[in-house]
Amino acid sequence: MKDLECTIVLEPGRVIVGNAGILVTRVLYTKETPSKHFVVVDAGMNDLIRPSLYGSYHAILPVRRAEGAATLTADVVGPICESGDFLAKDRELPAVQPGDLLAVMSAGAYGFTMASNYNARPRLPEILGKGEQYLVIRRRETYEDLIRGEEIPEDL
Amino acid sequence: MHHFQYRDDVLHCEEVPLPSIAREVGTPFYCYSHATLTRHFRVFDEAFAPIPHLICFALKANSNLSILKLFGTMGGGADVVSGGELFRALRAGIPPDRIVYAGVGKSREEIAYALKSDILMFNVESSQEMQVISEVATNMGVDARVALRINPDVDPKTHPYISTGLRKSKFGIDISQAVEGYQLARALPRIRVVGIHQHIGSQITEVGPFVDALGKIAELTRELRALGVAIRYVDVPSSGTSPRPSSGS
Repeated sequence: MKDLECTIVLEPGRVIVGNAGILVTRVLYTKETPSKHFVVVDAGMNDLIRPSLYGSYHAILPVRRAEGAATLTADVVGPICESGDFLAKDRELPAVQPGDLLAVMSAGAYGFTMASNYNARPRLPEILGKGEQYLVIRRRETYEDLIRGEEIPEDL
Repeated sequence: MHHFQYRDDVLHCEEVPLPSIAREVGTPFYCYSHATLTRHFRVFDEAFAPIPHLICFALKANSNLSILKLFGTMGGGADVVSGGELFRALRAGIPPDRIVYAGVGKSREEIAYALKSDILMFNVESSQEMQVISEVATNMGVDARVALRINPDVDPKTHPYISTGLRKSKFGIDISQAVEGYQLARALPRIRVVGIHQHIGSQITEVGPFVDALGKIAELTRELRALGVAIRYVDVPSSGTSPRPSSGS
């Protein structure tokens, strides 16, 4: 192409940002049924829809790890009232307790951009770690943000 | 490679322990690594250093203003697919001459906004869209720079011929019909054909196979230039290169 003196225009997305971002979520509850373990976390399909929408695989790591910790195989599910609300299915995880933090890896691409306010959930903050500091590059939405633009007309 | 690593069994983003962030901003939250973003951008950029290139980051993957700003300061541009993404790119300080606009459903309002912003070019996806861009540009008294999408591997037996009329066919244009397609596009008022837009369909983290695949396009570029179509840009969307198959591009 050199001799053509053309400029090549490239359009990378995921290849640059995919692994540069994660979603950090907290375990709310653990739940056992006769057939399955569930780990209920505070992030849902409205925050990261790729697993529900495409069956995408995201590694899930404990934020605090312990050597030789017991493991279990569980579905990691969110708080959304949809059976399709999951971040992982039949995933081997260290046994977690309510309050533990999990990191959903490779969430830098098609994560926040596909997030919604479904179930009237404010969208998440975006944090940028830089050396020893971190920057809030988007604050968490508030309940007021949820209704911005809505009006109840007088003659309703 | 990324900068989310354990230190003393606690996961960090660069030097920051994630539990500290969780304590201060609450959960859940998205967390990006500045070092990983810049490293990935730089590695990609350096891979194409031997050839003149422009990296138009695809906003659909992540459109946070600070992240766009970061890539912009590293020489990056933007690949946008809506008026809203164009707004974001401009607001983040991406120079308009580094913005390309793709997508099959551009509205007249969005086209006008992009023309007013004087972006680098439109990646045109259909003949009707080309007509509308021509009309909007004519009304505004400006030229629209466009790239046409070429499909190098389409079976003519199963694909509509451009010869049935550019007005009816959809892009991509079969490469064998591309010259005709370009000539028809060039005949439209206020359309300036400056680029070729082609899906290579391979993962483009290596330059070798990528350059080989551009051979056909190079040939077409020469042919079009001989006919007076001043191709200056070859737009090559990258396919997903994450470890596991998924959506988007």
